[in-house]
Amino acid sequence: MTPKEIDTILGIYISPTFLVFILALTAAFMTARVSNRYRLSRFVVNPPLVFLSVTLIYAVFIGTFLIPV
Amino acid sequence: MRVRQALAGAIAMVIAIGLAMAWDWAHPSWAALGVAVCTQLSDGESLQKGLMRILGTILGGVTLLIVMATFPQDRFPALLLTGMFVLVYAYLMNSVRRFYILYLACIIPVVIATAEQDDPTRFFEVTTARMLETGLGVGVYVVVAIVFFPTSTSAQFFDKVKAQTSTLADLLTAAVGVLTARTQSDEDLSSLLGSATERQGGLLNALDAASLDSFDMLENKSAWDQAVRSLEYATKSLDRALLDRSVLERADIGHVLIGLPHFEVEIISRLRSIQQMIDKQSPEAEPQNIALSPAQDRIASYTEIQRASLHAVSHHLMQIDQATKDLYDAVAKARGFRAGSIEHLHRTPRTFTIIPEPEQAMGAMRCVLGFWAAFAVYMLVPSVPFPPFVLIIAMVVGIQAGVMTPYLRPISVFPKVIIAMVGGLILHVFLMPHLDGFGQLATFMIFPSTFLILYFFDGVNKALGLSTWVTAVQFNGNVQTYSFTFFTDALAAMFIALCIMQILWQFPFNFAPQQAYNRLLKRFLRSAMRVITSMDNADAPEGWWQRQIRVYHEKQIALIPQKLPIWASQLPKETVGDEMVNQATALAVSLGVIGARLEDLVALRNGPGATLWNAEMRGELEIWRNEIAALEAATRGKSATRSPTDFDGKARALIDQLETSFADARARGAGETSIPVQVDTVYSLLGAYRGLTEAISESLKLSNAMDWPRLREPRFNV
Repeated sequence: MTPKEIDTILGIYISPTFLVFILALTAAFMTARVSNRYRLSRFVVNPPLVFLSVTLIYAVFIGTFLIPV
Repeated sequence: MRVRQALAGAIAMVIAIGLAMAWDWAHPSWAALGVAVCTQLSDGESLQKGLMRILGTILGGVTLLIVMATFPQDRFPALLLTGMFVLVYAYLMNSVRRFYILYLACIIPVVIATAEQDDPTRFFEVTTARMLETGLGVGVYVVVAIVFFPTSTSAQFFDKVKAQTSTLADLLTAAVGVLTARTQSDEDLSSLLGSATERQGGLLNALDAASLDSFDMLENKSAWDQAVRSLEYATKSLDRALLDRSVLERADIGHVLIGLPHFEVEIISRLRSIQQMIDKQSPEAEPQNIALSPAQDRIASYTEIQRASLHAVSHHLMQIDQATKDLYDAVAKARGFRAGSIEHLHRTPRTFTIIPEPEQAMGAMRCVLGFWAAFAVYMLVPSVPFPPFVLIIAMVVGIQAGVMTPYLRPISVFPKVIIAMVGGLILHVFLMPHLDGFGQLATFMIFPSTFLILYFFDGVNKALGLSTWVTAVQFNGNVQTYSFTFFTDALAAMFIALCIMQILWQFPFNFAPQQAYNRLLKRFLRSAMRVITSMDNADAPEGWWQRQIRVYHEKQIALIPQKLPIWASQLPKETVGDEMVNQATALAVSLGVIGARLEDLVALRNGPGATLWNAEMRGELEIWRNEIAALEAATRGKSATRSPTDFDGKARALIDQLETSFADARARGAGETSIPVQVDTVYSLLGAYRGLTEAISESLKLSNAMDWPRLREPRFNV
């Protein structure tokens, strides 16, 4: 795997993985808030584990389709 | 005031950093941190905090030296031993008034060990340097504040005591109003009680700080200490007197309790005189004796329960009389209106048990696990940015979140950290390279930045903002380097540390409000059950271990109701709803009443005549156990199918039954009431029995109205 960097702003290069995980965490956080709000979380047995899983799913999705790592 | 404080902080910051750089000290940022922690405080408070910081540094340094001397070459045993020290310090933090010393003692070993990680022989030197630089920062701030902008801590303490006496006077008027049905201001009363309790909490700390502010305060510290404790006792007695108001609502207590109007006037006059003495004026009147006695002809028609309540109310009012007399005496001695030594009264006796307090232990464990996890990241994960930072942040957040504010989600502070760090980045990268010499650095960077942070930030955010700024601009010796990667690394390190602490927020002990609330509730009910059971065999000889368990449960029933309302207020409103939060708070308050009543019963258990009555009223113990079991079942969602009126009816039936048992026992000659001490004990017991029955019924009613399945349902803690 070739190491990659993204020129985000004014020549500041950062790792795409870092960006992917930040976006995935934000998306998982929002998903969790929404499921709390509409009481969908009551169908979940272990919320912390599901939160981690959702973060990883988002990370894979974003890393595959939006910001290839 | 705001401008003055900001100016004092900015001048002190310039001088402290300037001196540290001029003397070529290695870490001027430590001197700057010394200024940062003092900035929101008055002179005495700054000095006190500075002294605690220095003492904490010494304790932390000694801890590190012990660890290094014991295991100089063994990384993991050293880590284990440091963890043990941190565990003890973090556990004790909740039990001592000067917890800041222990807070520092937890952090300092990590700070020093990571500051000189390449050369372990310099630990002693670094500890000394840290102490000196902290002392420099604090000393400079105190001198600047005293010379240019003096704010007297003693004056602040006097204002607080006067405000508390005024609140007590208002509270007394409102309480007598409620008891005599003159007014029906229960809500005002609750808010007054809340503000009195809240203000009372900070008075002893304010006294500690004020005694460093002037010699007069230091000399009379003992008298002021007595004054503060008397005030606390008076407020607590008033709170207890009000517990019986429901029984006396229609009893016309204003006419029944002879001397009540005089009592109100006298106590308020006493409190006014106390305020005058605090202002160094002669008091308008000396305390007069008060006599409260029930009008025998009027109480003839009272039930035994009403007599017991009347007895309890007059008992607590007489406690207020004594407490305000002692307060008057202490203030008179402190202000030089009277001579004589101080008797130490109204101190809560400390009972010790070797069984640790579970919440405190869990918080301390969380600190240690955070430290170990951060260390594991430091040692085992390659290329972690800025590993010492991960350790220090994990430690600081661990203590803050684990011990001081356990309900706070650690990751929630990250946005604030980003904002502060970006501000520092802009200064560091775009401004600092263009500055030449300390003159320009002070004029264009240190002074304006400190001033703006102190002017625009509030309360504790001032110290946090300044600390983050000091970290971001990196004052490390006279050789300045500029690095953008420092910021990205520091941010990433902070994020890693916060993530570690976020995981430890829920694992192995869950500190999410709903879990903590349910956990504490369950523990309270279990302890209440144990305390009631212990009354059943109060006469049986008690072994050492049984005593430890009994004391543990007795402490729990007093401690948990203080914590429950805080957790109730932290429940996620957007998911459980406002109503649930209010219900949970009301239940917590009502459990507090159960705790208070049980405490009364425990105190009365060994009184004269109590044993006999306990034996007579054994049937009540069984009823309470059943009711508490029902309460526990209700909190598990297995609510009984009773309507709110059923609960009231049941409570009335139980109290009627209690009265009948009491009358039967008296008819059999139990507890002859000819001796005054026994009359006191018998009525106190009956009052406590009645109060407990009522409190349990009230809690059962409240818990039955709550939607427990909704509160307990799984949800994301985000």
